[in-house]
Amino acid sequence: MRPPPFEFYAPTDLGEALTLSDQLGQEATFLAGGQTLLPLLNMRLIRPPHIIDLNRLAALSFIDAGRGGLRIGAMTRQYQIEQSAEVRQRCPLLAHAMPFVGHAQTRSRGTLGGSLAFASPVAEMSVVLLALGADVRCVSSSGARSVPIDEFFVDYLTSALQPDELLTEVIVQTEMDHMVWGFSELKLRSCDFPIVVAAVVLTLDDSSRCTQARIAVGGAALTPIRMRKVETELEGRVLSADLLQLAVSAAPAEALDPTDDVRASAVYRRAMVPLQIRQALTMALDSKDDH
Amino acid sequence: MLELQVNGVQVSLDQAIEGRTRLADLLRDDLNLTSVHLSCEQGVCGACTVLVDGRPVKSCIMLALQANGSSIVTVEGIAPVGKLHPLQDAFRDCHALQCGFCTPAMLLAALSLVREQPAPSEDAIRHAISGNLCRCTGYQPIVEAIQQFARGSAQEDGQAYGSAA
Repeated sequence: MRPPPFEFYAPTDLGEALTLSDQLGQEATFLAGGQTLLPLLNMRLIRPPHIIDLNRLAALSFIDAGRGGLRIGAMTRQYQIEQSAEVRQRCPLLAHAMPFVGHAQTRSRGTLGGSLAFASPVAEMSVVLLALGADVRCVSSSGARSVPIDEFFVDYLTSALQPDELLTEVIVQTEMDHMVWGFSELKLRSCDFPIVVAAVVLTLDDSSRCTQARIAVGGAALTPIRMRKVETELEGRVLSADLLQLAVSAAPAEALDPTDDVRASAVYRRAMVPLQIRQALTMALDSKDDH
Repeated sequence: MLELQVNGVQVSLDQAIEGRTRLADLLRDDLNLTSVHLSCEQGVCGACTVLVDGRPVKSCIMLALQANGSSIVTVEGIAPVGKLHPLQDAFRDCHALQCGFCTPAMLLAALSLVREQPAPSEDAIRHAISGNLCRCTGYQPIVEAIQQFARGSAQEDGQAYGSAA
């Protein structure tokens, strides 16, 4: 059905958007790509009296590959990231994972910032950015701060964004020379939400010894989480198929707390977590030989 | 107050448009473009797909006011009145529809794919229509129709109907 009535605001610059948000307080909701918010409105699961549309904030839509890393504006559409030659070159994991997000229509409107701010436990972009160790830029009328992605996901559908803050950009370090990466997800059909999704980024030294591992999994808990025990098993060791097997066996000891929902039971998700990690790690290991 | 281009025609709506009016509501109720089908209304079934500035969009989860200044194409706009677009011909040839409910959206999703990838693989076709549900024909004839169109009519499409669609 149609959404319940609301007042609609379409500011054209960031300052105006933040002023509106300050004036309207917690009764107002920011609208980014709308690919989650509009379904919630249509189903009348939320009834915000005021909606502040961010789609006219052209300054939040950019892909900028500079010396400080890859900066992507919060309102950059998912399809723009998918099609960007710069993203493909500087951050191939992000480019690889993007076609798995939703489907063509939702990637036309859906944004990177909107997906992160919703903080779904199974959002591919959240899991990938957690594996990449991204920084999230949050701005309010009283200042700006960078939140490390490791501190960004707080609870189920809850991020570290404060009520007066707006997510403006994501910064990814792109020194990928000594890194290998992998991605794997399980879903029932290609347009559906994932059941479990895993992304890994491994830093290797010249002798293929893993100096740093970042393994992120969605669907394993109420937020995307790191697999710290699996990472510890890998770090300091030379990558091999046997090592992967050993490391993955640490996964059930992680702080797993998957949800039970219409797509999968918690028991099933728990069982699929090691499998997805193993597949993502295997992809990373296989790509090592291409270096 | 809203100005947009719909199927190649400039449209100005002077009346106040409620914030909650979705693009699909505007196209159906104000512009009488009833090929835009509302079904799940939560962005899953894809029956409301239209092209917004050339990209496929689910018009049940985009607000009408957000389309200000945009160029919209619905299936009514892909061929002149009384004629079929070559992709529609291919759908007929391949029996790619039964009830027809998903068809307008399926056509637009396929058109946007073939514009970006003139010779799509079967995998690419299945990926591109994964946001469009069909509950009667089955996807195989739809995939075949899109393959037939991509093989035969891609160039013709660009010449004949490129401006409107």
